Parts: sequence; structure tokens; C-alpha cells
Amino acid sequence: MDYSIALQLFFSGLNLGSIYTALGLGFFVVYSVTRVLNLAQGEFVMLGGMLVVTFYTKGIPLVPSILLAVVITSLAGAGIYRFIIFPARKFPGMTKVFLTLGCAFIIQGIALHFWGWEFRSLAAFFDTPSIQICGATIFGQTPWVIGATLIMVAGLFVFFGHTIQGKALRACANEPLGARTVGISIERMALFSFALAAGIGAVVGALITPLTMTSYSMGLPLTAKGLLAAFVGGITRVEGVILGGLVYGMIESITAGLIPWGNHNVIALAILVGGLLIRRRGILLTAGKG
Amino acid sequence: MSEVILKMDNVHANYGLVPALRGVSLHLNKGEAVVLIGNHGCGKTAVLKAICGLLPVVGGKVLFEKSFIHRLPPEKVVSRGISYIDEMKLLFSSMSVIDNLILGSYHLSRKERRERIEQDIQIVYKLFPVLKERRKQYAGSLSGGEQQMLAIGRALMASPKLLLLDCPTLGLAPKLVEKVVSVIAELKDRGVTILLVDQKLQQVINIVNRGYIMMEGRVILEGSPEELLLIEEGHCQTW
Repeated sequence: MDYSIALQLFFSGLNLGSIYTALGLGFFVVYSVTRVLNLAQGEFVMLGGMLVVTFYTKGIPLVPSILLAVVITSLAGAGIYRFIIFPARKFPGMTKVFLTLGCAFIIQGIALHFWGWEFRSLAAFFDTPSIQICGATIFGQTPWVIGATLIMVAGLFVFFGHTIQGKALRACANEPLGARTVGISIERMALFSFALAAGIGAVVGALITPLTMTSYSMGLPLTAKGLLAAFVGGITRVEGVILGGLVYGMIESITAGLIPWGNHNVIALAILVGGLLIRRRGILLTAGKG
Repeated sequence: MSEVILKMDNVHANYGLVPALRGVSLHLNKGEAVVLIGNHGCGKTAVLKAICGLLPVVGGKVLFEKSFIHRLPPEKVVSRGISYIDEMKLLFSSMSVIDNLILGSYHLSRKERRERIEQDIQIVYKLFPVLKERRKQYAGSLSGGEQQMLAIGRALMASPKLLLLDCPTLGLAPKLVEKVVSVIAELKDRGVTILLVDQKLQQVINIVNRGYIMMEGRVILEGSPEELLLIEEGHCQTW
């Protein structure tokens, strides 16, 4: 294979991998605390992207637009927990998962009502130009995607590992009753995790809009991809989410580059699902751990 | 006369539809250690859980330091100065020993935590030196005795005025039982009020001031440790 093509596939894989990692982080945050798979996570991404485009096209500068989108999406995440998941907190886990799916359709419907079915896009952040390295092209948005994902991963490492609130979030997932006996409010922590995951989703939405465009219907496919990426690595560990995202991104990029007839998505998914069948708890997790 | 720190007045509580407490009344004086004894399922653990908020009180009142706490959730009860150690320990098994201890001080304000946390951790390490050696180990990888020490240590990080202990010596080797009992005695000497449930009164008889015998969700007798021991020996075949 031509060296420049291999390099191109690598950069493309890194870009996709960063996106899937960032998507997976949202699932990780909610799942770590509540053990609920939030199937509305992709909708937060869509919402974030749509809001950034809306604010930006109304003349608000990019950074305040992103911040506003993050705040509004976080409030939407907190609202979903408070008004839909919290009242059902004593129901079985699967009921809550289906409730999040219902929320996804509600958000989708609202987005369709306000923004219509058209795709919307943004230029690369600050009009960053594409660059050429050894014959491979790196799109101007790619460094922003990779950089922001790295910052989010580092932030979550510090938050979960070195702050008492982050430890309290982990404690809720590990031993909820024990958490209550030391004074941690499970409900407050769950609310916070939904808001945080929605905020992460909004950042991802802002990051990918210049690359993929955004529309009201993009949430569920993103949910499927982010969830799979998180599960491939191991959804209960942030390292697992990173690894899963990167593996997924690389496989999708390589299959897109090598298979000419355009079925790369299906093949990438088949490889990952096959991998999950062999290692059901993810690459980093073994039975009985995590 | 000693100051009453906790008073339960005609408390009723249920496990689902099954009555667990049917009108329990008892009190604890400040700084004393009191034991609850009785057969399995008589409501001893339910008393502790009703005090700490894990078991909803459906009738009666629980008064702690002149304020009612029977409608408070566990996270609010902790901040009043009551720590509960469950029979199952309820440790954060996939977190380190030090993180478990740090989370014990969760309910404190940021300022209080900053001022006290190092000092409180050193106090716990002094009581249980093995926890210092194992501070980076996962709590789930500790032995049963070490987990019990960690559970007590975590509860102490909250600087409790009242410590509720559910079967603290259950399943421990005799040497560890001695250690745990001596720590409970030391805490009592420091002024912490203690309410404990234990299956073997003999193990804790030297450290408790009084005790209550429970049967079918009710307190049926109050007495000195010696009196309770005589009664327990007389009725051991039924317990």
C-alpha cells in the first residue's frame, strides 16, 4: 500500500477514533454512576451541534456559542433525569434504558419542529486550514477534535480520580447503599452525571458539525456507534472507552480505505460485534472485574 | 443524670409489607455504649437502620440531640453526627482504602475537610496500622478483618457523635474480635456514644453500659450487661 494512503487512513482513524471516544465518554459518565445506558446520548450531540450552528449563525462568536450550547444541553440532560428517570428510579434498569430511548425520540421530535429536516454545517473552527503531511491531508477541524477529546479525557481522569465529587460519583456506582451511609445523595449525583454527559455530548456535537454536518436525525446512529465503542473497550473504565473509540475509529477508517464498494460501516460493525462476542465485557475487562 | 442523646419513642417500621419494628422505645445517654441482643429477625438491625434513615419510620419518633430525625434520609442523618456500619460493611470495593477513608468525610464542608482530613486519617491509621500499609489496595481485596477495620475507620472519618455498629465482630478470628472490641472501647472512652448489635454478648460485655433485649420487633427488657448475660444464658436454647 502507498505510504501516503496508509498515513491518510491513520489520520482519518485517529479523527474518527477521537469522535467515538468522546461519544463513549458520555455513556461512561452516566453508566458509571447510575448503571443506566443512556440511549439519548446521541441526541445531546445533535442538540449541541444544532444549538452551536444556531447561535453562530445569529452572530454570536464561536466560543460563547459552544458554551451556551453546553449549558442548555446540560440543563436538558438534568431535566431528563429529574422529570423522567428520577420518578422511575425504583423501576428495573431496563425500564430506565427504554425511558432514555423515549427521551431520544422526544428530543428528535422537538429538533425536527424547531430546525426542520435540513442538514446544517459549520466551517472548521476559526477557519483552520487543512494541512498536508507526507501526502496525507489533515482536515482543519481534526486537530480540534483530537485536542478537545484529549482535554475531556484528561479532565475526567482528574475529576474521577482526584476530586471528592468524582470519587463520590464512582462510589454511587460501586456501592449505592454505602454511598448513602457516608452522606452522598445518589439522586444528586445521578442528576449531575446526566448533566455532565449531556455537556460532553454538546461539545462533541460542536466538534463534529464541521466534519459531518448535523441534522435532527443524526442522534440515534451516533448513540449506536458511541455505545458500541464504549462496550468494545469496557464501559466501566475510562481507559476502556478510549481504547474502544480508537479501535472502532481505526477499523472504520481502514475498512473504508480498503473496501471499495462502500460497505465499510457494516464491516466495521461486524468486526466489533464479533470481537464483543469473543470478549463480552470489552477488551479491558475480564469476568468478575470492573 | 446523664444527658440523653438519642430517644426512640414507639417507633414502627416495615420491610416492605412485613413489620420489622412494632413500637420500639429506647434511649441512649451521651457517651455510653449500649448493646441490642435478641434472636435472628427480632428487629435489632432494623433499629439501627431506622435511626440512620435506611429504613423508613412509619410511626413514632426518633429524637437526636433535641431534633427529630425520623423523616431524614441517610445522607442528612450522617451530617447530624450519626454513622452507621452495616453488617455487610458496604465498602467501595473497587476503590482504594484511602479513597474509602476520604469519602467517609464527604458530608463535611470543604473547609472542614481541608482542615481535618489529614489529622483524621492519621487517627484511623493509628487505630488500625494495617490500613496504612494497605492504603493503595482496593477495599475489595482486603481480608474480612481488614474490611471491618476499614468500615470502622471510614465511619470515624465523619467524626460521629453516635456510632451504630451492626455485628462488628461477625465472622472475625478471635484475635481480630479482641482488636475490634478494644477499638470500640477506645472510641467510647473518647466520648463517642455507641449502639451496637452483637450476636455474642460475652464478646462485648466489658465495654457496654447497658443493653436491651428485643423480641418480634419490640424491646422486651432493659438491663445491665450482667443481668442480660444471665438472661441470655438462661434462654440461649431459644435464641
